[in-house]
Amino acid sequence: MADGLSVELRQNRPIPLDVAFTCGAGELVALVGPSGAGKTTILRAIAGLYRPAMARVACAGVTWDDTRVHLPSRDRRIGMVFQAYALFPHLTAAGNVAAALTHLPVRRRIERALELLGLVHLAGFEKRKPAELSGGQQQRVALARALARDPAALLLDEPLSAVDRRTRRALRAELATLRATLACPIVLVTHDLDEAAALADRLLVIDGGTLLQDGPPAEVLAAPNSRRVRDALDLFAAGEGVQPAQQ
Amino acid sequence: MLVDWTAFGLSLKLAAWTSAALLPVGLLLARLLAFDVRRGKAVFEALIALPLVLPPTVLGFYLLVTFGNASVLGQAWSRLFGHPLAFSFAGILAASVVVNLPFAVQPMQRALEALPPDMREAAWVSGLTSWGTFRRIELPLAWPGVLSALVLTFAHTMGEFGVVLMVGGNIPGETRTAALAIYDRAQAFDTASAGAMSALLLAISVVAIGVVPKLMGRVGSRHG
Repeated sequence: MADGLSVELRQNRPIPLDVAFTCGAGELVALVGPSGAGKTTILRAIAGLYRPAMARVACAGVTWDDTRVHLPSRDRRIGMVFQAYALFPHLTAAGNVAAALTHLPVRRRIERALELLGLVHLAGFEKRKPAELSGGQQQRVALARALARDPAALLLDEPLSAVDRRTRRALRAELATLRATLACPIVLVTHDLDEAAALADRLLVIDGGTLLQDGPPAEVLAAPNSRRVRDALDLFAAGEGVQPAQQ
Repeated sequence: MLVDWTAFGLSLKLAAWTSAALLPVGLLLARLLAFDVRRGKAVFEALIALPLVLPPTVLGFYLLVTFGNASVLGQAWSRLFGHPLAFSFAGILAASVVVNLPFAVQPMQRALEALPPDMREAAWVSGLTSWGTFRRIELPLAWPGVLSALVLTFAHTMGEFGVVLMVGGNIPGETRTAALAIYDRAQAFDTASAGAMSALLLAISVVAIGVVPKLMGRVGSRHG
């Protein structure tokens, strides 16, 4: 797929991986499964932060990984929101976003950073450091930073897990609005089945590093294709109660 | 004169140059050990820590042999600069850099290792190069640890005795540092002079000991 993302990852050890999927431009796929299923590892492999034994990753017609190529993360035009946001604590909100704008001339960076902060409803907060922002505001800065590179693919690693339930609902709605404006493939890792069903075009059920089922949320939830998928979804749903707001 | 200011000036010069040399060298080694070296890391760390446990005379002897005119390095130095490396300021500076490696590298390494791993990964996916990540993320966050390493190095060099004596001798204005001047005055039963200079070195050490824990405490707090 020319503008989309195609991913194929396989290895036996140390973390078993056996997945192959695609994500079209503007499409959002959610990786779901119980804790330790390998969801974050898959995301990290797409970002080039982890290199499995066999990886074929291509995005927007550019090969990021194959048997001979392993493009460094910095050259992948990835936008990534980390689970704990990983904001740079010594930089302001604008500085955090501007840090990802190295492809622009220096004088344009702050201007563009302010535009992006405005896009995530953080105008007026640009001079605050991460420690002076709430969890929800930090999440928005992380999202603005992820969008800063005009990403070829957006990777979201449990982006709403570190905020309270009320903020999560508001952010989920904003994320849904924002994604409608994005033309790149989006891969979301989440431990919240409701969130996955509400935001995703397709659910990818992962367990033990293996892709068990790939389909529209309603279809996957209504008709798991195997007992293992049902068990994984049950485990996953049960896990939500245990860890509603992972820190 | 109670205080041998020439010797103190030389000690300050040696401490400043040693700290300046160990800033890039220490950072390079600390970063390699913190992030890159996996195999044999314990061996490299032990080698760097060796000056902490090795008797200064033993280390000084090996450095004297390495820098002396019988060695390849000593001969090359003499040909290039027209004077021997041993018993010169350059010689005691080179020795001081080796002796102070653990004082510089260890705090820098601890400060870099304390950085959350996803901070560096966030920098990479943000498009920063390895150098950009170091300059804009790692160094500013680890800076209190780096500063603390430099303070320790500076204070330790101010009081360095055994290795300097072995490698540099005790040449006034060239290799006689404050610690050697104190030793000379004490040997001559000039306790007033030895006492005044000792008090000065003690003050420098007290200030260093007061400053370093504060700086190291800031390493953690900077990570938010």
